[in-house]
Amino acid sequence: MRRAGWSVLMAAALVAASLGCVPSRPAGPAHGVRVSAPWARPTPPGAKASAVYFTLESAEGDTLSGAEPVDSLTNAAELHAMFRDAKGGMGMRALASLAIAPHGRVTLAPGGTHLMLTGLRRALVAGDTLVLRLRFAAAGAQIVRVPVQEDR
Amino acid sequence: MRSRGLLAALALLLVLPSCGGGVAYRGRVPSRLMPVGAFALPEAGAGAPAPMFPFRAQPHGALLMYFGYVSCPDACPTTLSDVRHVLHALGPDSARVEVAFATVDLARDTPLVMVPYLRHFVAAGHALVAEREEQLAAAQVAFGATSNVTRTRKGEVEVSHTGDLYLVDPRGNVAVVWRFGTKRDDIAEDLRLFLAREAQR
Repeated sequence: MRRAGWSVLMAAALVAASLGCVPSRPAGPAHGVRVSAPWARPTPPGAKASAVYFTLESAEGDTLSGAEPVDSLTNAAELHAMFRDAKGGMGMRALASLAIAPHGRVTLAPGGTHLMLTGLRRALVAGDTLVLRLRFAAAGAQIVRVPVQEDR
Repeated sequence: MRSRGLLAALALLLVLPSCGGGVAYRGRVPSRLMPVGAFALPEAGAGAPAPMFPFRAQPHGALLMYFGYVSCPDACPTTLSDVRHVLHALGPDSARVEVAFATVDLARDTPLVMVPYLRHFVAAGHALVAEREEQLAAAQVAFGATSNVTRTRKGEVEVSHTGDLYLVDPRGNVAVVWRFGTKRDDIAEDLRLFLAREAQR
């Protein structure tokens, strides 16, 4: 009886801890950036450039300051943002860095900010995996595996 | 009795705006006539010398026109991928829709590059490669499109261009303009509406 009472107390304490006191972030180090849902589109023949998309989240806030390919499929990766002019024209502009606000989320998606890949050695096909190193100002380097897949 | 009549009148008022007033496209309908049918660009991969492809849909059909370039990492593949999804969503009606993609990067996008690029997205697409800058510019002016190819100090080529997708009717007029970023479901819905109207002409 006494033992049962103790275990109930312990269980209650554990539940309380998991609800409130312990960070509930499942992936990544405590001071880190969570990189989720990375993907890149298969490329048409002849294309020498492509784009990588993903979502960044950080509890403390951080800055994506650079990226480079680790695999041999591409030459370089560069942060790009889309701009539009008044006449409906648009283009891409290199971004030196990308800030994530504390408890913020930044999504790189088609038609907006993306990581441009250049110097493709061959066409990217569904099933390929790109490997990139993302460099964050506070969290340091992080390796990300990017599946090549059709957009949904 | 009297109130019933009032109710009926109110109900009519509520119903009328949705059936009157013509067609509501989700894309932008040009406020002035945009005739592009008198313009044409050489079609790559369709024989030698390259035949001129006029900006005019087949009878009862639609022509989707886009200006872009092969080295475009994001906007052009996003639009062409959307077009592919739209054609798929239309089912058998997609046979009435032609797709043309004209390059604004004449220095790099040769016919040999353009044809396989477009076919990756749309197997029956028309890859258009102007022979001269003036020829491209004339076509762009007709569509109200611009582009600019520059080389940075680092030697990188930078391209900015109008990212609109155009729907051209069989009479050679632009019927709808979709700004870049229009949802593919909205494009598909507009095309269904357009094709239904064209079928009755």
